[in-house]
Amino acid sequence: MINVCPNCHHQELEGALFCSECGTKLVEQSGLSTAAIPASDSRAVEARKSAAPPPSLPEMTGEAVASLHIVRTGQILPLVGRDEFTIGRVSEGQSILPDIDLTPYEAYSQGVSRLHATIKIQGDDLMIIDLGSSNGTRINNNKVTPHEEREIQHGDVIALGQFKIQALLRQDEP
Amino acid sequence: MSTSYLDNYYARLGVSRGSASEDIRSAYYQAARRLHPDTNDDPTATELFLQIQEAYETLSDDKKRADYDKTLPVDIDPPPDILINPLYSRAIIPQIDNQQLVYILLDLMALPNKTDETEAINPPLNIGLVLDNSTSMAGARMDMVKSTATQIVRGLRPMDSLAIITFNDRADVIVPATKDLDQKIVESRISQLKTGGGTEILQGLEAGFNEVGRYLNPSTVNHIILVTDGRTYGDEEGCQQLATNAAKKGITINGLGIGSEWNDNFMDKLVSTTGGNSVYAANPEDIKHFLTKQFSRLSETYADQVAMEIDTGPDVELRYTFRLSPDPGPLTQDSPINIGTIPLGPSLTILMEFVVKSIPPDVDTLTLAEGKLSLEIPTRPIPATSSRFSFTRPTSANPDLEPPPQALIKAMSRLSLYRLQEQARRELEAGEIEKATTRMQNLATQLLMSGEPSLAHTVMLELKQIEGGNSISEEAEKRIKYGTRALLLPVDERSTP
Repeated sequence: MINVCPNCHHQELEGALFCSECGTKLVEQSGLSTAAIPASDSRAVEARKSAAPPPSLPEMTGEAVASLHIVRTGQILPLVGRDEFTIGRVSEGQSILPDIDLTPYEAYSQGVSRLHATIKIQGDDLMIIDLGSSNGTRINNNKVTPHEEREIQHGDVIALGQFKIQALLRQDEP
Repeated sequence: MSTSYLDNYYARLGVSRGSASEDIRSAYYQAARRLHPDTNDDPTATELFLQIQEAYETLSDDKKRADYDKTLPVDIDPPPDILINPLYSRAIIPQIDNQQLVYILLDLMALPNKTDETEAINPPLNIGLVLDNSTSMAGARMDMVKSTATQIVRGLRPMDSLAIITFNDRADVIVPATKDLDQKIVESRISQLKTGGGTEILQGLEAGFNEVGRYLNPSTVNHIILVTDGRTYGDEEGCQQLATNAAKKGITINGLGIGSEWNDNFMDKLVSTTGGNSVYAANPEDIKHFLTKQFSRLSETYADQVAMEIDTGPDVELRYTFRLSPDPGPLTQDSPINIGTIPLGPSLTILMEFVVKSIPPDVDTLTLAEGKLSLEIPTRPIPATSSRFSFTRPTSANPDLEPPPQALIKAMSRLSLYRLQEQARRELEAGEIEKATTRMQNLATQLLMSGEPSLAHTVMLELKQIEGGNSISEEAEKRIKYGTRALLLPVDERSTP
């Protein structure tokens, strides 16, 4: 493989992104947009109901306003493609599926209900509503009232039963 | 109450339950070096030292440790303090015989413990302001330093400690490190500052180091801020040695250079040793802007003294490291790399360039680097747990090469302009005028294409000077260097001319 700058014909090492000689870009830009919180190793949470197209997002997007950090595994799930997500797990014969399925993370043994809570993105704010789950939802160890909207701040630890996720909000420079 | 993970021997040393004995030992020595009553006057430091001592006596002994472990509940490890998030230029590394480059954009984000309210507040500061008062500072520069220092003193909280030192051929401690300063007295001392003499930076740094050392404590943000407009001669090595000691003790040095005469390469090397940053004030008006920004930044610190012990994998070399945010600046390549502070809000982001020499066909997972991140969280009474990391990628003989992530390309497009400038300057210093001028032409073109006409103009003016047989002006060098560096800042924070 050779990596020659189309502008100045300087030969660069494979993997170089910009020509060290003249600064010309040597790679194609990815068509996919990237979350502000880089999350290369995690899959984006896809909108599950593929029939409904994701709501169109304002100009600077592509960048997730918020992500969920699964404390135990360190994985990050960017919240992209819609502004409301149900969280839960999937079991047999379930008719309504959650948007964010925590089954792969041993959600059952940690006490996550099938439809446990809803997370909403409202502008720059993040809200959570417990959907009357069996084991309840706590924010920073404080139990929330079911069916009541609560705001979540960056860094808040949300416990769905025993399952802990941490909210990461995009932090713009002041 | 969830104090279980706060009050146990592992937490006191900032290690996790599974830590190997050498990690426990190094955590102990690191803490002991800073907190030992012989070197630290702070009474709370002595108490912490004794607690750490007690913890180490048990955990360093396998038998005692095993007995102690039996008394602990199962889940004692605290949640992570920071999020370590690497973004790779390649998802899969192609197995090729030739050398190749792999980039990592590393994001370190604060994960404040929201169940503990003390972490939401701003930590106390322990700052040594080291001010050049040589003859060249006379006039507008000194006036601006005085008015800014006064403003800073007024903004301090009772828990903050500040020392003010001036230096020329010798250093004077104008205000010794004190908490809860008497503002009137300090302001009158500031107003009486005079100028005269030469610039011997080591004198000032030594005095600043001693003053900050008096209140040195992991629960404060310990920084020296050096303000100078001149070049120091003969004591550069001494300064560098002092920076190395400061880094070991947990003191960061930040620099502010005024005008055209100061030595920016010397300053960058000095501050990067400690994980600090340097800024350039072209005009006296910039002094106030940078110094007040520096103070407000420091009071918004979440984690300080973030350091990375790093070992590259076999046949991998770490060739370049640069901090992109919050304060753009070069980093050292030698382990441990001091990378600065993590603010409460935006993340600390660094870029690393690795050269992979070759990948043997039987290697299906390439280790770029692994190591340990250590840090201090000043608002926390116990040491922060250091995190192990490992940067690995799968390899393939015939991978689908996907374009690198956009965030990485964006960062590199700005950084590549800065690096063109660095390279041109090296070539000029080596007398390779032709190479340097070609590169500066390229830089000017790229700057124009990036929508930076005024910086491009500065480069072209200098190009004319050099082509006319003159040497580049020190002022232009700094304008171009700090101008391209400022391109890495978010748009609303750029203020250089």
